[in-house]
Amino acid sequence: MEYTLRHIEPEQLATITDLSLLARTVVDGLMSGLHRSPHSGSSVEFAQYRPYTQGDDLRNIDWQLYGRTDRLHIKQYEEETTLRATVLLDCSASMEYGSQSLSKFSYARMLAASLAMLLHSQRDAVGLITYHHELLAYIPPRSSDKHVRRVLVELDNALPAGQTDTSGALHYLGDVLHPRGMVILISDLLQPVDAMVHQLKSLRARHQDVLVLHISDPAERDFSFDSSLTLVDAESGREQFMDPSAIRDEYLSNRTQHFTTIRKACHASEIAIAEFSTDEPLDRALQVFLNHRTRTTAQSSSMRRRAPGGG
Amino acid sequence: MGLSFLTPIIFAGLGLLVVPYIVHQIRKPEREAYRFSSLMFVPKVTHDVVERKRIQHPWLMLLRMLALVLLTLAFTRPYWKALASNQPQEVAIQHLILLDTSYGMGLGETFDEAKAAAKEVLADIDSDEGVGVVYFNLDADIIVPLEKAEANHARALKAIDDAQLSQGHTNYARSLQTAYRHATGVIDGPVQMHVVSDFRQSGRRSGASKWKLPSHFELNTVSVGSDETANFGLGELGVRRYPNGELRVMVKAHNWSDARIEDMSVYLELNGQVIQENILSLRPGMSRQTSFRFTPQSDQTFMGRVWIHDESVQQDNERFFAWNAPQTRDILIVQDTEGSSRWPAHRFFKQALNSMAGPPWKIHAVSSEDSGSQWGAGEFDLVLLCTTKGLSTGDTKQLLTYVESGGRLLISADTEGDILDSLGVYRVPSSEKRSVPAQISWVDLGHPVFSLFQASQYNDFSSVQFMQYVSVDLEKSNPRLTSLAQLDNGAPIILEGQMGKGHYFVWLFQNRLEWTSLAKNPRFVPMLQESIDYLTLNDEFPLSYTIGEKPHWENEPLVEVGYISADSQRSIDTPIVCAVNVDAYEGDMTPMSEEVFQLTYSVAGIGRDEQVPQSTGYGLVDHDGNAIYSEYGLWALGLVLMVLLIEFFYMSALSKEVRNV
Repeated sequence: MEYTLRHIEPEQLATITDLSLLARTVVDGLMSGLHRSPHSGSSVEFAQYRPYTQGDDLRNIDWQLYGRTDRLHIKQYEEETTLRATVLLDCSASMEYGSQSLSKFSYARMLAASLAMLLHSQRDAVGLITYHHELLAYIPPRSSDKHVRRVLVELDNALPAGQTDTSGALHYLGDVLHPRGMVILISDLLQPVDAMVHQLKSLRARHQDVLVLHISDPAERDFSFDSSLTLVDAESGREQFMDPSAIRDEYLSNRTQHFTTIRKACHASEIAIAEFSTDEPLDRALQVFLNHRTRTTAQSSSMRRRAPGGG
Repeated sequence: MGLSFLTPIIFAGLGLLVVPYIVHQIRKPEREAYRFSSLMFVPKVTHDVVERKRIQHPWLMLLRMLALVLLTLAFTRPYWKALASNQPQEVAIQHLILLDTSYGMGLGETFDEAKAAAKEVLADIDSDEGVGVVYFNLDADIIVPLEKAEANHARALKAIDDAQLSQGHTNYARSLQTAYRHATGVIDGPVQMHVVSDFRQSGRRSGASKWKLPSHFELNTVSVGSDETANFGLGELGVRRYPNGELRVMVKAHNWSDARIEDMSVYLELNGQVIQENILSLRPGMSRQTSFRFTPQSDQTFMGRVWIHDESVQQDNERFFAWNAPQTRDILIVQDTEGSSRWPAHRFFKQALNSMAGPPWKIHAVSSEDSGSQWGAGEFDLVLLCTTKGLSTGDTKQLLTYVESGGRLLISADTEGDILDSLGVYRVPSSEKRSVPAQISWVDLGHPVFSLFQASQYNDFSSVQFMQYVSVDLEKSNPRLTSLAQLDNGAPIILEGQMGKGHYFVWLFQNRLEWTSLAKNPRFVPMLQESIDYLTLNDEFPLSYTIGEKPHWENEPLVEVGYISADSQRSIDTPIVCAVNVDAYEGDMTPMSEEVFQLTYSVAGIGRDEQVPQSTGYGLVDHDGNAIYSEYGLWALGLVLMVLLIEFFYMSALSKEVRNV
């Protein structure tokens, strides 16, 4: 698929204070660049019949066919094209850091708003979870205009603070989510790997389509400080005086190892993961989302064609 | 006695202790953190890093403070003065009261305080102890000789009451020496010298610095006066006349205080009338010269004064000077015959002497062919003999008599004539040595005649060529002859000699163009005029004196500032006016601590040996090597170095500790 996107630089986005306007600007920009929508014709379409078995929903029995054949058949449809997506936004203090015009949190919030607007524009349902070390807000996925506004207001009110507990938020989400939904985690992933990956895998096992959008800052990536300085951990408050040039290699090595572990674990569980720097245009993140959406839709369709009657 | 400090004021330097503390505190903000998202990837260091340790480690700060304390201690010059334990206690002590009557004591009520203090000292002396009174300024004046008599106390009291302020400056060393000589000539026992003075550094400036009172002379210092005083005054003064007839009076104003002086008026007064005012500002501790320019109406003698109009100024707020109109000198030119030469020597001489505007000489001319009896040489200040040729024996004899009786003679020699032989100049016969063209390669630039030419752009005389000259062998000549200039072949060309009371120059050449290019050279005129000035003015006496100096026509030293007149040796009719001033530095009120005075002029614990003890650089030892007093400043400096070394190694250890983590 070929895209010619009109990129909007983060510096420009930072000047827009109205989150809904910002999200619309991003989405409009994105959509006007698409040649063809990959999601046209999303509706409830008949696929096939199958014999009734105990436990099937009686509402799906085709009574007209029963009248003609005297046998109970269940009417099966194409899978619902309306997506139920839940955006998890990391609101921990580490997200507040930003060496560029946008902090990671501002960038993530814009991204979340834009995704919500994009999903809504495609009549998909969108929900939101904001969290740090505890759950801040949970808005279940809906597709009404009013609902999207609520999501945007919630995003607008969110402030970064506290420590990160992504695994806790994921665990909570696993309990409340509708099956076969989509989970979009937006975080800097600065937390212990094991618990988080375990929860991601758990979601995946529940047939959730999981997309991890990793937000990073250029200064974190390069650790490009010049002179000696004292750094304070935004979450723990721990101070450390250091000579950046002396520890840069070790820092970069540790960081690479951390994210390689996460990436490998995600790939192993068919979890899509992509890294975004706060100096990149938001459009690219949305493009990644659309690519992922297209790919997963195509995969599920082909799987159904290969295994008719599969549930 | 015991531990004391030579410069205790340096203890103020302890205030610098706040510097390490402030640095310690100031560095703290640098610890203000740069907020970063997470330190989870930063390698953990369990200790502070080196830089912060170096600055903020409390032990390092204490070591630095200790180094500062020791450094301050070193500059306060702590010393330990040994006690004069071998002083014979059983012998009665004699007392000599030295009352400072120098000019500087006239400041405010200082002199009255000094007299009161001297009376107190006298009152404390037992009536059975001997007592004497000495006034001192430039030197000591024994007013009441040291004597063990009750009546002496009354005389001493009267002497103190009668003391008058002098205009002499302070010379502690000479005064103490005189008092010491008096005391040792009268008695043989311990003497206590009570010095009542304002103790100013200026009194230590002159005099023998290494001389000290022996141990049985104990110095008791009684300080009077206040240090809270403005400390500035006028110093050296000079008068110079410029060729355009302008006179310039230059005077140096000193500010010895720590305060800046703004807009001080300096006045020039001539013959009692103020004619100019200069405004000066002086930075603390600085001196500045100010000058007054004026053109006198005529060449007249006048008395001048430069002074400061300020109630708070010190005693040296005025400087006197005198200007004497230049004396006209009578010069007799004995002319050479013109002969075939269009330009005989006397024309060059006359032209050179008349080239100055308002020349300080009157020129008279006679011919060498005239009889010497017609010249009347004795009436002239100088005889300029343009040639030696044709002089009769009688003329030569007359000239020699003139010189012997104090006359001045400048000879431009010819190859002929006997006068050179009579003066002891040995001419080399032309058969032995023939003069060849040469140029001047050396002149005695240290001689007053040539000192004018010392600057590098004037001291090259090589352009003065000689085609002919009179060859002279100096070794065979009168030993009192000296050469002032030589040619490049080593031959002398200008000689200076003395005969009797007289003085003469011999130019070993004819000042004609056939002989030399000197007359065409720009150096000729100044050289001739300087030579005449040197020959006719070198017996003049100085025009400025300081209190205490003795002019050669006086038997007593000068005691009052102002003007004195004296007869000129040359012009009997015209008296010369000279100025008398207080010593230029007497007004420097910079105080001297009593400890410094004691250590400068007294040796305690050395026994009766009057020899100067040996200085070791950080104290004094007697001839047996025993310490008289010891300074510990160098020890303190050594400790500073040790502390700094400890600090350095400790810092290095801290660095290592961090690197090992």
